[in-house]
This record gives sequence, structure tokens and C-alpha cells, in this order.
Amino acid sequence: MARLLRAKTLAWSLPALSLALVVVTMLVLWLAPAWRPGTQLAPLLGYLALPLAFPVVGALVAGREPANPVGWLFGAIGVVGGVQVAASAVVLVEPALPGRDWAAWLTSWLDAVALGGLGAALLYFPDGRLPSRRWWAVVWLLALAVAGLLVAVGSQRELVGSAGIANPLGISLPGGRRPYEAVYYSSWLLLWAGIIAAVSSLLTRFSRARGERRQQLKWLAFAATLLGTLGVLTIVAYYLGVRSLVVFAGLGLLAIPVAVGIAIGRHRLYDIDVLINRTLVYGLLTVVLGACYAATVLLLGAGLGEQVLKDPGAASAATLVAAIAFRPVRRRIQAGVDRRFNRRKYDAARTIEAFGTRLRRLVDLDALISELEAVVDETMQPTSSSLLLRPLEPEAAPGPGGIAGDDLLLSGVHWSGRPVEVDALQLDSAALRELRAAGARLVVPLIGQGELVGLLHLGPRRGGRPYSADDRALLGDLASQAAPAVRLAQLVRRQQDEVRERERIDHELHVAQLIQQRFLPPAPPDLPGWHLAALYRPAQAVGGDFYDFISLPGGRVGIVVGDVTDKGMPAALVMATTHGILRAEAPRLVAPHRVLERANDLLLGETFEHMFVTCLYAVLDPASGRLSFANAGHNLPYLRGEAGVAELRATGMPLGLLPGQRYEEQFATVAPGDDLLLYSDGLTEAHGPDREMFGFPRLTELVGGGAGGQELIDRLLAELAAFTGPGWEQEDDITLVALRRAPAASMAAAPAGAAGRVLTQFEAPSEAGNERLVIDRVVAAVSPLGLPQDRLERLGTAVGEAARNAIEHGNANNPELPVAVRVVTHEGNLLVQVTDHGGGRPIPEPATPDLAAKLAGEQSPRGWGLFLIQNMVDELHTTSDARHHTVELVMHLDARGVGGTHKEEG
Amino acid sequence: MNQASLTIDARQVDRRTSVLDIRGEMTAAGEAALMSAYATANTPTTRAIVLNFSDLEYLNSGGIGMLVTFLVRANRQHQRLLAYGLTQHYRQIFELTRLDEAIGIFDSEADALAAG
Repeated sequence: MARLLRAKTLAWSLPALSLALVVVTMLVLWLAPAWRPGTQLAPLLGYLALPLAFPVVGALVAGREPANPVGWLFGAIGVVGGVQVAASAVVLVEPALPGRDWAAWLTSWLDAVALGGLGAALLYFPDGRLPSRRWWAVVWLLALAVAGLLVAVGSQRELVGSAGIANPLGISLPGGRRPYEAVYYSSWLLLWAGIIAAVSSLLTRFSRARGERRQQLKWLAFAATLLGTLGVLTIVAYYLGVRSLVVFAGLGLLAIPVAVGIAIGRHRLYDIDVLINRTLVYGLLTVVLGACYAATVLLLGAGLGEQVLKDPGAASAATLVAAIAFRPVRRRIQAGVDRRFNRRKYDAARTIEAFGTRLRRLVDLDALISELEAVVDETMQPTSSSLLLRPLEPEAAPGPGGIAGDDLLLSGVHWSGRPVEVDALQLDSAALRELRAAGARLVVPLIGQGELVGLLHLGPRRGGRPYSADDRALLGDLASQAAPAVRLAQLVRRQQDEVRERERIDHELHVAQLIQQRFLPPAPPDLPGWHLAALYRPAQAVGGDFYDFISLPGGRVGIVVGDVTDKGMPAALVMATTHGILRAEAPRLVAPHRVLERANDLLLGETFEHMFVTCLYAVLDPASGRLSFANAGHNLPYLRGEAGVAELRATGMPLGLLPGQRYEEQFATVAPGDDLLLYSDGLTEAHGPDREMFGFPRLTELVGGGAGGQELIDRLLAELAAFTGPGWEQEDDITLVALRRAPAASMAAAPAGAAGRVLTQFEAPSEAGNERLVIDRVVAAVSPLGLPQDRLERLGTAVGEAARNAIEHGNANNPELPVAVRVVTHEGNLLVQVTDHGGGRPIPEPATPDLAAKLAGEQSPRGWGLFLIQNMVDELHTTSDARHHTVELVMHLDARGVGGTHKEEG
Repeated sequence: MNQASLTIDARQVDRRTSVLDIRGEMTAAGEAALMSAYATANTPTTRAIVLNFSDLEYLNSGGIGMLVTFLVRANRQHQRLLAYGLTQHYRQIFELTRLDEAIGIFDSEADALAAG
């Protein structure tokens, strides 16, 4: 460490010394009252490169690699150069300074020392080792030549380059100038031979070198070529009389230490290719444009005479021609140089160009991405590369490849707009850290229309070679071509996805529609004395409406109208499930609120989240017009009777939302001539052109208009069409179920007030013997019918048996539980309905009582009840649900509306 | 209601025949009344029991069941049951239940006693 420090100090003392000498030189020149006649400062200024540039590079190299003689040689060349310029200055100044002859003596041979040092440095370049041991000979050759020159020049009486100044060490030899000249010329010959040998060793090594070594040598070769070219130009210019160009020769000299510094320091080592390329292009461009300029001037002169040449217009015209030619010529020269000297870049550019033309046909995102990656792979040969795309909707996923939308990397590369070296980025970015960890070397932003479309990142090259400025430029071209295409392909992809999604939905809707239609009843049931009509009109997107008619015991009919929230397949499945549950449970439970309670519990496990079913379930007894109903959050049905239109209210939550829901059971009677309408919200929530809703008031009014059944449905549809206007797209399913009970007038022979009326309806407490009470009230209620006495007695007996059963068995003699009795006439029938709370268990089918068996002790002596009822009335219906069961006794009335002759039982 | 809705009086017409005068509702609830009346009417020499339904207000299946039980018991004693005073309705019910085959139905007490 200490050694390295000492080496560093020593190394940096050399440029310090050179600098001091240059400063002294400047001061001497500045302070001098006059200069020797014929003095030219230009060569001196050009020579300043030696003491300034060489020792600095030398110090940098020697500081890092003390064992490398190149650094020390450069430092020495710098000091020699410093002494040289200082001595030259001393020689130039008038009046003569003391020791001028000694200064002149130094200037006469020091350049040879510098040249010899340079030659040796070339041999040791770049790693401080000679190519082989044999090359020691060349080093000795150079040393010998420098020594020879020192002897020859240093002892001559006349000093080289300083006419009129005597050599303080000059000696006269017997042979006159000849011996000096012999040594002098042969030494120069040796010196150049050594330098040529050094240069040729460089060239040989260059041709064999690969990778980094080649790049290092290339730098030096380039500098040497530049120096040589400038040297030749300078000499030509010098003899043409443009002596100030010598400065450029000095600058050319500067190229050597810069190139060596870069090569050994390995900083931007690979930019040499671009530098050579540009130098070639612009050098040739200068030549071509200069020729153009000259040719224009000459042509103008030939065509228009000598005067034109003096006209400033000619120069302007020539300049214009050169300016116009600049861009196309530059492009051609660039292409030519690339093709000839930079095949890889040329091929890459062709590949990218071809990709650019293919891009226009590539609208498939996957194909585009894989092509892009293939092109990157072919042209750049990265070990890995990957394209991260930014999604079209920034809110969906903020950045490309899951990079957070506010990551500084995105704004950083977007802002730079060009490929960026990962190592050069100094950002507090998680994405950048990840890229680094993944070994990415280069990040290329894809920017289309000012928007960051994606990021292409490349790993290290397969050959280990870094990415050059050329590579970055090519990638930039590639990215700017690809970005709009990628964005377009993304849009196309999204559109295709949308189309596919639409097709999928269409298909699903079609299947859902089939399911839905499969579960709709083909036609309403045919009930005598009733007119039933139903309509289901699906919206374009299938909704979840449904309706159903379920036949129940005792000739009753369950009527369902429902609406599944949501649309499409899930709704259709839930609708089918609901349909199945209702179909299964309705005949068993009958009571509407029980059916809905059961359906709710069963549906809870079947529905999807946030999905529920509104449902109105009514049980109609067509004979009596009695309607019991329960409502699970559905629209309230309308009943139009003599008194006007009424909503049938019953409370309850929609199905499938909450467990253990209870539903209210309500009753209503559809009298002859009455209308009942069940419907879904597709009708009431239809919007008109001004966004007004069809609404309930309008519907109430229409129901009150007097139409019923199909007529009412047609009327409603016509009004809806008028309300929405033409071209209306139906928003939701529309379901309508309309029931009309035939008006009383159609029962022509029935006496007014007797038919289709509830004669009485009451409850009796369940106490033994109360059946007599029931009999009395029923008998009293039917008295207006004028039943014959025997029929009346039979009815009484039957009612008594039914009531006794209800009290004793159904209600177990519990006085808290009433027996409900309803007496109705309907279409020539007298109906007595006796309902108890003995539901939930079936009514046992009694064995037909046989007196002989009873007397023989084979049957219980009891068990005559149902047998009696069956034989007392014309029809007997029993129904039960979870809570109740009902016995309905039917007695046919004759044409005059009174009980006819009783049926003879077999 | 209550048991008092049925009252049955037994009267012995002769050694062989007793008459039960039934008043009110003949239902299962009246079983005790029927049995106590029968106990009164029944003698070792009794061969026929005549049921007087002239004042029967109501007969239901429970009453029929009771009659069947009564019939079984009477048959065991080798006694015949006879009845009179049934309304048309209850006659029909007797026919329907075929009780008329086991109980002789007559229009009047005289006819019944004559048959007995």
C-alpha cells in the first residue's frame, strides 16, 4: 500500500514538474520584450500537448499500475516535453537570456528522446510487458538510436534548429561534418526503424487480439492513424504555406496519450467503434463536401467566367450545394462505412429495418412480442431480454410487468426517452433494484405518442462485451419503431378479448335463455270459470324472471311470479333451482308462507353471493275464489274488484338472503268478475324516452280499466309500447300473469246473492261438543239456499263430523286453537271448509268401517266419522300443510241453485 | 258441551223387554249415561232392549260407535236391540252403517214391543 502510495506521489510529481515547466515557458514568452525574428509560435503551441497530456495519463496509469512502464515512460516524455518547450522559449526570447546556448543545445536533441520513449511505450502497451523477449532488441535499438543522436547532435558545432547559436559543447572533428552526419543519419534511421518495429508489433498484436485487448489496441491504432493523417496533412499544409495548421499536428499528438489513457483505464473502451465510425464518416464527408464545394465553384467559374469567382454569390451557391448534399451524402457514407467496416452494426440495422417493415403487418401482440425479442436477440445477443408491457388501463395494474405506477424507474426512463444503462441509473426504485438483481444491463423504454408503452430490459451480452453507443442507438430506433405497433397490438388484443367475451356472454345468454324457457309452463292451466293468461318477455340480456302454475290438492292452483337478481347463467341456474324447490314443496306444504319459508331455507345454500330471488306465491282455490298468498319481496299483486283496485300486501324478505325468515300469510277473495294481476318490475321500471318510469300509478290505473286475462296483458303491452316509444330496448324481463274470474252473469241460473259468495266465516274454540255450535251456524248460514231438509241434515252431520275431527284430532281439544269454518257457494256448489291446526302430518286413510267386523271384535267399534262425511256430501277434499289441515265438504246445488237429490251411494 | 246433554231413562216393559228413552245428543260423551241406563234395564230375564230415539236431537259417529259397543255387549247377553222413533235422516244413517241390520228399526214402540 505504502509502495503504491509512493508510486502515486512520484507519478503525479512528473506532471506537476511538466506543468511547472510549461508555466515557466508561458511566463518567459509573456514577459519577453521581443522574439527572435522569424519565430513561429504554432509548432511550439502544438508541442504543448507533450508536457500537458502525456504526464497526466502517465500518472493515471503509473498510479494504478506502477509496474507498467508505459505510465513512467509517458511521465518521462512529459517532463522531456516540458524541458523542451521551456528551452525553446528561452531560445526565442530577445534580448538573449543567459544560458540561451545551453537551451538551444537541449532543444536540438530532446525531441529524439521523446520519440524514443514513445516508441518504447508502444512496445510496452498496453499491459507493460513486451510481446516477447526478442523485443528487448528493439528497446535497445531505440536506446542506441537516441544515444547516437545525442552524441551526433550534441557535439556538433552548429545546433540543429537554432541557427546562429553556437553549441557550448561543440567540438570539431577532423573529418569536418561528415562523421557527425554519418552518426546523425544512421541514428535517425535506427530510431525510425525501432518505431516502425514498435508500430508493426502493435499491428500484429492488434490483428491477433480479441475482446478487450483488441479494443485497447484499437484505441491506440486509431490515435496513431489520426496522428499520422494529421501529420501528413500538416506537412502538406506547411509546404503549401498554411503554417498555422501545425497546431493540428500537435493536437494529433494529443490523441496518443488520450487513447492510451482510455485503453489502459478501460473507461469507455468500447466506444472506439463509434468513434472510428464517426471519424471515418465525417472525414469522408468533409472530403466529399469539400470536393463538391470546389467542383461547384469551378463549374460556375468555367460557365460564367472569372468574375463570378470574385462574386460572393458563387461561394454562397457552393455552400448551398454542400449544405443540400450534406444529409443524403452523410447517410450514404454512413451506410457505406457501416457495410464495409462495421458489418455487425450494418446487419443489425438491416434487421431492425426489416422488422420495421414487418411491424406494419404484425397486429397480434404475442407474435409481435416474440418477433421483437427475436430481433433484440439477433442484433444484440443478450443473455436474456424481456419486454414488460404497461397495461392499457393504468388503474388495472399500474406499471408494466407489475411495476408500481409511481416507481421512479418509469418516469426516469420515460423522461430519458432512450436506452439507459442500468448501472448509470441512480434512482430510489424498487423496480430498478429488482432489475439489477436480475442482472439487467440495459433498460429500453418503448414510448409511443409520448406515452410509456413498456420496458425492454436486456441482460449482459453473450460475449461479455458491453453495449456500445451504437447498440444503444439501434435499440432506441427499434424501440421507437416497435412502441406504436405494440400499443396498436395491445388495442387489437383488447378488442379481440372484448369480442371473445361478448361471444362468450352471448352463448351463455343463449343457454340461460334455453334453461329459462324450459322452466316456463307451456300454457296456463284451464280452470273452469277462470281465464288465466301469462306473458314472459325476456330482455335482450336474459334476466331472471319466472312464473309458474302448480296444481295442488283439492283442485287448488299455486301461482308463482318471481325475479332473480342478476342476469345470465347464474340467474338462470338460481331460477331453475327456485322453480324446482317450489314445484317440490308447494303440493306438500300448500300454505304459501310455508312454501316460501321452505324455499328460502333451501335456496340459501344454492344462490351465489349477492344474489336473491323475489317471489310472490299465491294459492288459488278456483272453486271459491279464495286466494292465500305470501310475498318474498316481490311486487304487490293487484286485485281489481267492485270497490276498485287494491294491492295485496304481505310482508317478507326476498328468498336466499337470510336464514330462518318468516313470511306472512294473507288472504283475499277473487269474486266473480274480479281481476288479479301478478307482475315483475320489468314493466313498472321501464323508462320512457325522457327517463320517466312507467310506474305503479299508471299500472294501477290500467288494471282498474276493466280489462282482464289476456286482454289485460295486451292492453298493458300496448300502453308500454306507447309509453316507451319506438326503438326502445327492453331493459329487464317483463312477466305478467293475469287472472280473471268469470263474472256472475255467466252463471245464468244462479240466484243473485247466492252464488260465489262467502256465506259465513267464523272460528270456534276447540272444546268437546262445540261441533254442535258449528253445525248450527253453518245450517243457519246456508238457510238462504233453501236446501231440502234431508240435504241440510246430511250437511249438518258431515259438518259436525268434520268439526269434531278438527276439535278432537286436529286441535287435540285445545281451546286455544280455533277451528276455522268457511261456508262458500261457488258455481253451483256449496263448500264448507273446516280448518284446524293439525298440519304437518297426513290425515290417515281410515279403513272402511264394517259393522260385522266390528261386532266380531275385528275392528274398533269407532271410526265412523269420515265414512259418514263421505256419504253425507257430494265431494270431500282434504289438504294439509305444515300447520293446518283443511277438510272441504262440497255439496252440489241443482240448476236452481239449491241442493239437488242426493247421490245414491253404492 | 256437557254430559247432561244426553239423558237416558230405562223402563222395564216386561221381564223380557226394557225400553231406554234417549233424550238429547247421542255422542261418545254419553257413554256413561248409556251404560248406567243399560245396567238398570238389564235383568237376567231381559231378552230385548228397545231404544227410543223419539227425542234424539243429535247422533254422530261417536254415538254410532257407542251403539256398536252397546250392540256387542247386548249380543253377548243374547239380547236383541230394537229401535224406534228415528227420523228419516238417522234412519238413513242406520241404513248406511248397516246398523239397521243388527238393530231392528220400527216406527213405534208398539211395533217394537210386538216384534220383541
